[in-house]
Amino acid sequence: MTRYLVLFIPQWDLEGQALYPAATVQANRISQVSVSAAKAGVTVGTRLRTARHLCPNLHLVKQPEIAAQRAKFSAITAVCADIIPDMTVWWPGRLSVPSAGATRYYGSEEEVINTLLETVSLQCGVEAQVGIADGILAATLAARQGRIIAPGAATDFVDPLPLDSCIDLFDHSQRGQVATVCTQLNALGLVTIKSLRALAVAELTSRFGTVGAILGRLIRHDNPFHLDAKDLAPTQIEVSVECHPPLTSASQARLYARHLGQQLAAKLQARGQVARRLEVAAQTSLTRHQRVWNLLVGANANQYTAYLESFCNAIAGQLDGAVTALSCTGLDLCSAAQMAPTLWGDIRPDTLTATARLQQLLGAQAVYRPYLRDGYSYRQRNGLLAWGEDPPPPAAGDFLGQLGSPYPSRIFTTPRQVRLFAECGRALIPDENGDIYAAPQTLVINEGAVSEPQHITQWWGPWRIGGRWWAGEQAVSYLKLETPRLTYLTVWDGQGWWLDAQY
Amino acid sequence: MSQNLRLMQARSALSQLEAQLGVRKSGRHQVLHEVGDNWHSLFSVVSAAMGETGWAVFVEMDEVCWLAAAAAGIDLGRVVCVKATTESSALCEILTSGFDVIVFGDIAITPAIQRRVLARARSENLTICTTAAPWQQGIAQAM
Repeated sequence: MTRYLVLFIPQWDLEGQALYPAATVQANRISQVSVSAAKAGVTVGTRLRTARHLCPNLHLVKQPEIAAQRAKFSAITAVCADIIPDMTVWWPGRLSVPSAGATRYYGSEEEVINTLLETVSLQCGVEAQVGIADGILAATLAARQGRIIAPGAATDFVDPLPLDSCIDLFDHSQRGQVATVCTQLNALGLVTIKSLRALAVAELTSRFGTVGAILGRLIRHDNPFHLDAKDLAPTQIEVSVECHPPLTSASQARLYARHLGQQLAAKLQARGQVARRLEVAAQTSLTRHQRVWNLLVGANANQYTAYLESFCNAIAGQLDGAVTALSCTGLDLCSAAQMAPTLWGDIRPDTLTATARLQQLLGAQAVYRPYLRDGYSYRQRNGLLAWGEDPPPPAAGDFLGQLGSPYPSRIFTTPRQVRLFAECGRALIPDENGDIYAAPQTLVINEGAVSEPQHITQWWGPWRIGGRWWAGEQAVSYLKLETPRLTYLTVWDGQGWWLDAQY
Repeated sequence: MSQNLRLMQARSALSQLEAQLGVRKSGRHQVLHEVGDNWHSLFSVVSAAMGETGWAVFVEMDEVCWLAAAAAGIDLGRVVCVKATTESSALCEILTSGFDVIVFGDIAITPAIQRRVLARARSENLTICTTAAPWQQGIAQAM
């Protein structure tokens, strides 16, 4: 494992701001804080507004000041380059170098550190901190404490440290994002670096993207800047075969299909990933035929083969020449762990497949699911979401006076206009407060040209909701009516009575 | 012992085992429920048929009050709604392959497809509910 030396000058951008609490801001979040600001509770990743609330006299260092300060770091690098050539400057205030060469030259790691600190202090007038350890993470954390971590002891050193310690290894522009990831991991119960090491890099990458990949490599003492392509989630995996001689029948193509299906499954399995879509293509000398399937449930080699075979059968009659190449591409890859069923509450595979097939058959907007939301009327509280969408956040408000149970079983999509008459024969019209002056006696439902009067045997209400004139709302009154046939919910909207729902 | 007799004995033992382990409900299962306008009873039927793990699909049922459905015990997290103005054998095949309870609303289904759906429902222990046009009397009685 490579041993690194890290030279670290704390708060380089804030050097010279020691008299008052100071901080730098990146994308409305605090990216660096001085010690006095940190004492007031301001941390990296804090929103600017919160930081100002915590520390009212916080001084925000402006960009020209930061740029001038960063330019001064070139003097430090020039001095260090004489002692530790081939160093890597991370950003003004931090540099690192593999320590093996310098250690051999100066005789020991302690000697390297002493020489470096003394030179920087004497020639630049700056107090730096230096640490040496296995891997960049341990070396950086050791530099904070000015320690040398013995070879092989880096894991024991970093394991008990909180995850937030890793934030310091990221560029200022990324720190807010990393802080968010750390908060999410903490919420999941992963508090220390040791607990995070239990997760595979592939899982972290699939969930948290590049930040997750870098974190995963950091805690394994790898260099995060040497990310392999396999660590970053690929969007697709393709397997293909050139057909020699070109295929002229579907039965020949099916022989290749099994080989391709097995290859794709093996590649996905090696990565611990599953494909959510599968693209199959056949190339002739003139055209390319292709088809894509949704695979909401992770398929296996046999299923990939089955898709390929059905594709070969389907295009057999449409080919304008012999097939020269067949390919099979897994798209929309995700971690297999994400698709693994959990103990409770998962959608059954057959239901998941059925909903996907329904969406293919009828369109994405034809398949939806119901959910309950806040509102005053029954109609407002019935929500529908396209399948696969997340429900919107709950509406604000306490919804006092909302219509309660018993609930109607059916809410008419298109309310029908009705007429209500009191016992005296007069049309029943609520007053401005939504109250009615007499008991409703007859309900007349307008069914086209035919109007059938129904005797009202019992009634409840009226219930008035809405009417916040300052919000542009119009008050409506609901009345529940029982007739010998059915029980209805009618609504008065200021213009007339409408049949709104049925019990 | 003839082959048919051995087959009958094996089927009997398997069905007893399924009922005993809870894989399949014991007793006679009513497949078709024609509820008409009484949607509260529809919710009761669907809720009972879904049980704790079943999934229900409502086809062409835009006017359901989901508050009432939830109050009747239907877990809305296991409900899917489908807008399909015309029936097709492909649609019915998908519905019977992925759901335990299928509620047909305002959708006309030909007698041929009705028979296929009911045959599949009987073999898979599914529950079919209809609210609009009654399904063929002959089929309903056969259930």
